[in-house]
Amino acid sequence: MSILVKSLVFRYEGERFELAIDDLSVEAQQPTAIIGPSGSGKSTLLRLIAGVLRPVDGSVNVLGETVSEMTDTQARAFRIQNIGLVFQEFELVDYLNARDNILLPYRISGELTLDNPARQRVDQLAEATGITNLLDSRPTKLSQGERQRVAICRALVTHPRLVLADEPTGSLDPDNQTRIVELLRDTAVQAGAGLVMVTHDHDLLGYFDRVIDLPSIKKAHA
Amino acid sequence: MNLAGPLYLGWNHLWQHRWRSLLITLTVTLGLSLPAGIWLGVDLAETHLRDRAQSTPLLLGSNGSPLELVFNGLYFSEPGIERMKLRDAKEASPDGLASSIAIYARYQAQGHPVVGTTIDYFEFRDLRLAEGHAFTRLGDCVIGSSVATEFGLAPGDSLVTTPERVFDLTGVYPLKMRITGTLAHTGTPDDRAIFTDLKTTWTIEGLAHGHHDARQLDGVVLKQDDNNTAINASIVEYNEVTNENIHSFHFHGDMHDFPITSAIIVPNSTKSQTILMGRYVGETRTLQLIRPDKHMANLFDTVFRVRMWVAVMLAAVALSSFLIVTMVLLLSNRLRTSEFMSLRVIGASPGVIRFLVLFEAGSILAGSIALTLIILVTFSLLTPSILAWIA
Repeated sequence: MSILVKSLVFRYEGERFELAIDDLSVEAQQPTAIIGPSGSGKSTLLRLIAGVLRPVDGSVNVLGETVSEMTDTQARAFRIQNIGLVFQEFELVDYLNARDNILLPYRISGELTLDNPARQRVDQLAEATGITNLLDSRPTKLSQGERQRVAICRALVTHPRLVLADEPTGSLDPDNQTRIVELLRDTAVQAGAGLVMVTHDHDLLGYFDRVIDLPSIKKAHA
Repeated sequence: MNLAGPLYLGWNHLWQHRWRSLLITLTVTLGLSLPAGIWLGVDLAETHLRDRAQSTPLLLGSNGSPLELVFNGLYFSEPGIERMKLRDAKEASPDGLASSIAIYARYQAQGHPVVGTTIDYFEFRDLRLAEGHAFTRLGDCVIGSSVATEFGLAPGDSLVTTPERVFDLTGVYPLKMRITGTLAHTGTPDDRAIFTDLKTTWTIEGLAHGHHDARQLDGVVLKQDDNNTAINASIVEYNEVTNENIHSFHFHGDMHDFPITSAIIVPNSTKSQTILMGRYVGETRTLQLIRPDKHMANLFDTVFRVRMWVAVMLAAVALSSFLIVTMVLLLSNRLRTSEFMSLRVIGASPGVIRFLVLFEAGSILAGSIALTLIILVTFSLLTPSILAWIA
């Protein structure tokens, strides 16, 4: 299994929120959607899988590595080498152009080397997502849909084995939503990466091979 | 840690927000350069002014403000100070004790002081001619390097003195002076002075004049006796000394009674200096003999005290500017929390984020320090010219 969650318990310090999952396994090669209402813990689960958050109890195993037991440094290295992330608000750096935003993982990480193949990869992804002519533009000059395409390219530029997308269509209009989900799924599949996407939009579920309803797998609050 | 990435990001952030970066840099530069500039400026001014004062052993002048006397004798300003007689300067330098160099710095030409003196002044100040020769005739002048540069003047050109009061018909008339030489640059007030013989300055004052020979003209002599000749207004008085009319110029009165504003006294020894100083002690004396360096030191003691307070106040202003800039940078970074969070989630270590923030702040500080140094170096290079111009 690509993702294996066992006896997970997570709480934010000082808050009443708790995410508790007994058992969850995801085969990432199957594009998977995690659904649930706002506040149900979808994004939290994604961050636990990415190793950004640590559970209070239980374990999270991703691509054969127990990320829940990694140190921050180990988790960061694991993440940068194996996981691509797409955020709801795109989180592009406004003072860099689209090309530099896509190359951001190479610029900020000591684990990756910014070489010619990486630069060529940017061109390939830009062509695949239809933003070749926008690579020199800054995010402020791009539409919402174009920004999300840049964010997808950034998530895939490091050849990740797994792409985690946190409601990437949340701020898009319905036309763009379906277009972006299709693009994300197809690009991830073409790149050989697994895809796990969090959404609360049931209209998009048809694009995924597997749908996980988070409230149904959560343990009831004690 | 790979530093190329954060450097690239930091540089892009500064460049994309270049006007804000520039504004902050200029604010810090102003905060640094103002107190430092005042401190340096006063130091340079002190060195510059004290050098000239120290190279002038004694200065003689009429009773009054010693500082005004210093500024007239050394910097040719304060033209309105009480005058003394040439005789006083001669008496202050009896044989064997000292020598004297008279200075009459009262008039101006084109905004520059006309300094009546003797050739000894050039030797005393070690002034060298860049072009031409010293004044040899009544109406000749030698100009300082700044005067030559400012007006594009050279030997053979002429300069007209400025009347003291334009609408005073009985006052001093302008005299057209012939330039015979230009002095080499010295970085002192001599650069912006116009040097003439004392007799020429007395001519400017009207104590000497030249005109047509009344005895050869019909109907101009109104009254004549053994001592005086009264003539009517048709007689032409010369406003320029030429080879043709120089013989008609004459002085009325004893030159030893003619005015000067100060005299540089050069004692032959320390003992001579002490003896001379002693002669000018006492309330009944109408003249004062002073040591310029002592009075400049007193002046600078006051300036230093004022500088200290000004510097402290400016340093407080600089500190508040610095705190405001720090607050701006902190608020700016707070606005970038989401960006930093994203960078961390994508894979940046806390060290990379810290380096990025420090690089940006450090670049602004480094830019400000570099600008401040450029300003201070430029300021220190220009200070002698500024001081020569001010004085």
